[in-house]
Amino acid sequence: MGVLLELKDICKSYPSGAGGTLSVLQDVSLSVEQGDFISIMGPSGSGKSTLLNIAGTLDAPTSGRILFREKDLADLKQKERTRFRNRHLGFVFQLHHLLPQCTVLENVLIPALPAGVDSRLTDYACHLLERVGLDQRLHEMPGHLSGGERQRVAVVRALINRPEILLADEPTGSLDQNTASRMGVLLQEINRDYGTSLILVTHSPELAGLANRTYRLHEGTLHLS
Amino acid sequence: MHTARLIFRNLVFFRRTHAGLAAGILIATGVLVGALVVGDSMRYSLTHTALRRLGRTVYAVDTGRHFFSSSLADRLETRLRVPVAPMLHSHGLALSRGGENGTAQVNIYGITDAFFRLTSGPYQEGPPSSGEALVNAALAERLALKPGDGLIIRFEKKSAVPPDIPLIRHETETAALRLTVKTVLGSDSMGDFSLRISQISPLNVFVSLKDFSNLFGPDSTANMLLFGDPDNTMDPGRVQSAIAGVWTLRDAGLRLAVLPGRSFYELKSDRLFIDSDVMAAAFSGGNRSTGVLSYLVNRIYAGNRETPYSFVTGISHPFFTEYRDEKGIVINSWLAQDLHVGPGDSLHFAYFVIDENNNLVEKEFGFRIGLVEPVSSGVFDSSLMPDIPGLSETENCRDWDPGFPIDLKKIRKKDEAYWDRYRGTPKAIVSPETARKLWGNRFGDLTAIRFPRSMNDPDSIRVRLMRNLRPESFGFSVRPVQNEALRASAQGVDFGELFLGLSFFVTAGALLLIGLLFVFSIEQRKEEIGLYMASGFSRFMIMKILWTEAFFIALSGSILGSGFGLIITRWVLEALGSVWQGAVRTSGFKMHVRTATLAVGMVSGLVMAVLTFAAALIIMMRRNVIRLQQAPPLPEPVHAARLLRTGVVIFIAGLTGAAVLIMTAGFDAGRRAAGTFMGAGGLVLVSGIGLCLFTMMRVIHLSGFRRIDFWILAMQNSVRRWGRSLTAIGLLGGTIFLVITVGANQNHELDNPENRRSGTGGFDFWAETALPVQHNLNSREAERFLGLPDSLARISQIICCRVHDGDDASCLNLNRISLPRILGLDPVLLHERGAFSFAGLTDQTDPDHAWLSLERDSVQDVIPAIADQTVILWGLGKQVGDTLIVINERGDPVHLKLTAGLENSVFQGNLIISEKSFIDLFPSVAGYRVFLVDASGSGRSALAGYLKQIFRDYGFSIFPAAKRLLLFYEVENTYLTIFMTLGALGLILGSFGMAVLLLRNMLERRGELALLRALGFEYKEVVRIIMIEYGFLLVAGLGTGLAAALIASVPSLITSLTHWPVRSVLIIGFVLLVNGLIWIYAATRIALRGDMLAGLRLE
Repeated sequence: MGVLLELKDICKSYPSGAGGTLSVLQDVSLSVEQGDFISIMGPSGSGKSTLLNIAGTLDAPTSGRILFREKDLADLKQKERTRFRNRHLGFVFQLHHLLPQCTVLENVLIPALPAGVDSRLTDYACHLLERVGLDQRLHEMPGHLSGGERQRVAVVRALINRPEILLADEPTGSLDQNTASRMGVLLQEINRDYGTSLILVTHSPELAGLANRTYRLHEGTLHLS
Repeated sequence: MHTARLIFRNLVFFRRTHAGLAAGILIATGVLVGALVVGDSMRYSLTHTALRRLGRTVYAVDTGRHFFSSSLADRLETRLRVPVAPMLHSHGLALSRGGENGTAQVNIYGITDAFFRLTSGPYQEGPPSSGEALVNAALAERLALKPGDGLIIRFEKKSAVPPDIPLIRHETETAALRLTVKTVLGSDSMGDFSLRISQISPLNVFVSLKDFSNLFGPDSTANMLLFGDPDNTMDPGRVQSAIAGVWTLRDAGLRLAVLPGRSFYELKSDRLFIDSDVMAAAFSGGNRSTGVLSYLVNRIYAGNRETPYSFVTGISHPFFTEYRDEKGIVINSWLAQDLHVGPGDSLHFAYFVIDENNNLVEKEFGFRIGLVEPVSSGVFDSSLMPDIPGLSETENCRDWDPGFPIDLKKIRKKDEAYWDRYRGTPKAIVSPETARKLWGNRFGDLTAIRFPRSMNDPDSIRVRLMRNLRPESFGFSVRPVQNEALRASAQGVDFGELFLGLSFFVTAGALLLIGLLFVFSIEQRKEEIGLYMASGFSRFMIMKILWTEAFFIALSGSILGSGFGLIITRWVLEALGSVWQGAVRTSGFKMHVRTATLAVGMVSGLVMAVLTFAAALIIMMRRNVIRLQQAPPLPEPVHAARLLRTGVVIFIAGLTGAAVLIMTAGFDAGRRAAGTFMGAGGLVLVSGIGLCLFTMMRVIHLSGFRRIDFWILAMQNSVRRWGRSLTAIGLLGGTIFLVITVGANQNHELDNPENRRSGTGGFDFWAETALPVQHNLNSREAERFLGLPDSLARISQIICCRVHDGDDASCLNLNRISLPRILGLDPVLLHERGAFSFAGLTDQTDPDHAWLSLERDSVQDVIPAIADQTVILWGLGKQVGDTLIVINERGDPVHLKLTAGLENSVFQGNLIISEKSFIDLFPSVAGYRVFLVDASGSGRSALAGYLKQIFRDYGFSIFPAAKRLLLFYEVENTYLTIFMTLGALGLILGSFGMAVLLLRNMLERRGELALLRALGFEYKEVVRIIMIEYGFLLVAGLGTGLAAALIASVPSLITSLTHWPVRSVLIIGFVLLVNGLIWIYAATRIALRGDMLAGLRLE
């Protein structure tokens, strides 16, 4: 198995009010191989989401390198970075962020729009939705779904472009315990069945326990548990 | 799933927000379309008015005092095969109800059937019969006339002989007609006919040409020709050639007499004197014609003997050929006997001439008698006497009434006997050169031209004369009146541009609203945008989605806005015809919609909206979506202290600057210092913003981040976003300042109308007469004429102006004028008086002697002229230093150079040249019709009453000069009122935008508000905190703007406190305050509704 994504010596700091800087991440390094299921835990404000945003190229590090298949993403232009995200990454957020104006199926297909949607992809979306037990609710509006169903749609949406890495930021944070457990199982199955690498940021030890490796982020540094 | 479907879903889902956006675009587009269609409608209405005024008239000739036979129209019609109508036009006054109702400045037209061939209106019954009159609707309304009512018209009985001419100088001769109104002639039947370009209906009376011209003389005469051109085959050159081809000597006012038993034919002019053009034509071709100049002298005396009132002729005589002596004279035996003189003796003439100031002055000249010839010798011939009205036709000398002062007591029995026997046979003959030197004048140097029979026949003389005379010299200049009118209306006041400017704040308010609504709607969807970004949508693609949505919203808004624009147009046109009539002085504007204009307005609205969206979108997309979530922190203490000091510095510096400016100008400086006070107001505004910054930072500074209370809590959000808060205060204050200062800065009273440098020139009255007054009212002659009682003899000055009628070039006329009314006056009087101020001068004009720039050398081709700067810029579309061309009485184009532009003055609408230049240009225009009266002292109203009494038959109107000036200001004031009204609407519209901003802020802070509730704050306490916070911004903005506006309005307040729109300003302030408070409260209610604590628990 080759290294898919590699974060090297990532630092991230923000300017603070008194003219100084607030350091969030300090020399964080992380390697993600194909099929990895990595969880990251840590107290609030420790920089977990920041790290995930950097890994997902939504945010830029103050220093350090991000390599995808040994290619430095810092060399990518804005447009290329956008294309990279679209082709290789999938995101699941704590809040599902489903578009209320679109049906379940349409929501799932949204990430495919930049490249164009065809019937094959629509079939694939239906297959994925069937896989998560939502095949009867393809044309429902998100407002009619339960919290767990919405989050499952969000997961399917993240998978529609067959990403190599799925980045999940506290995906069970807004779910009750039972639903959260089922979500954990779903993520595990995705990792297993589709070979999708997973980086999961969570406060939940149960969810983290499903991962191959678990890291702890403490005072800006990353430690393997 | 396609992007288009996503866009469709978005459009449907966010329809409420989009409806708000579309409403904003609807307003912005509506205002744009409204302004443009108002422009089109006004242009169309002006064109429509112009075409109705002229009917089917395409070309016209107005010969003024040159009368011609009305049969010329028939000859021209035959030649050109187009309808040609003769008219006789004179000015006058009209009275109804036995003189109870009356009005001056009435046009009286004598018309024939031909006039109605130029109209397509419903009235086709032909000219009125004898004793009947047709009146137009404006006159009918003014005098409350209806068919069957009686009407008296008094008018100038124009004579071909100019009233200023020596020998017949007389008072303006008037005549009156008692008529019955036959019908009120509608504007579509040319009832509003006029060759003057104006949107305001003239006052017209139409009578039968035959009856009317009978009052002017035995011939059926006319002084106006109207030409139709139904097949569009004519041009001015062709009409001009046709006139030259068919006119006759009579049409030129010339008579070729074949005197029985004489050896010559004699050419005389209806105008008494023969001008240089006719002389040149008569003397061309070597026909040995002879010039005659006969003159009536007051007395001929030698020693203590004197002969009164005798004719003397300048004509060639062998004596003068032999003795080239200008003082030599040949007298007849009767005179020699009467004076007891003979060859070698001296004698003197005393005679009247008219000096430069139009005064009749007596001069003298001495001669040496060279020869005495018998009175019956044939040298002295009664036909040498010119035809002088009031003299030639009288039986007795004692019946003489030539118009100038004659002392009939001096006429002796022997003089009567001479008149009975020899009539006006001259008693002396002088050389032609001497005669020309003594009695030649601007009207000509001869009274007759004689052609020897032996070398001429009447037909060849006529042919030669007509070949060499130009019709233009007799006033036959063809004007393409239809084109002039269309051009004037097309280039007139651009109401589209004007209303775009006036409604700037409405447009800006609408754009602000849609900008804020759009940003708000995007911010509401930032999660969605974040999702797109995370899903790998490029920024371009996201913008494409949002922009496409926006485009459809903009498209629907602009299409609906076009319809709304038509509603606005109707409102504006109705307002212009009623409450805003002060700007246009008329009503009845018709809505005219051009598809192209509608499309331009709609596309402009669309583009404006799309650009606003694009700008908002670009700003939004530049932001990091993650950071959008974060609220800015409160300033650090060290920064707060620095900002506090900055606030103090701005506050003090602003106030100090304002105080210095005010002290420099002085509170009594009046409107001249309006700009300075505007600057001071601006500084007060800046100072107010500084005070707000200080106040906000003071709260933080006092608390030291350690103390908290309601006020501090409320102010903290304002302070946190202090830049946004100051921007809100500045925007609100600045807009109020601008709208009120500009809108309320109206002129309802003048600073100091007695000041000679003011727009009144220090004159008390501006007076006009419909009929010319022959006397210069500053002359001794006038003193006698006026006969003012001692109590009113305090008149220090009356400036008299000659008037050449033209179009009104003042702001009261909406058309672009090319031929304004020209006034001729004595510039020295205004210079010595130091009257009026100048806004612009050419480099060559001496600022201290600007009036004297009107004086010119006789060799100078270009005539200097002065006009109001506003007339130069807007009425004429020129600059100071430019030249404009006018046609003089001889039909020649003359260049007038604008040497100076007056500050707003009573002269607005007129072009001023020196009286000397005026006489050169228009020698036939006699007398004065405009007067500036300085009563200097008490008894002003008594003087006005007295003058009214004296000039009651002249169609005299007199009103305070300040009132005339304020009439012009009324136009400006109306525009300012429109600006203030629309500005206030814009402010209210902008406040909708601010409400959106407020709601956005409140929703952002919903968590914070929920926390307050969770901490035990009661609902009303949370509302209180928010009301304090936003109320502070509202009151600060309002207060700062109003204070600044008040300072800037000091000049208006001091000069016209009673007219300062206190009520409007208070209403605007109150509406804005209440409106703002309602929005704050509504936004608070919206933000606080629902179970806020549930959201908090979820977090």
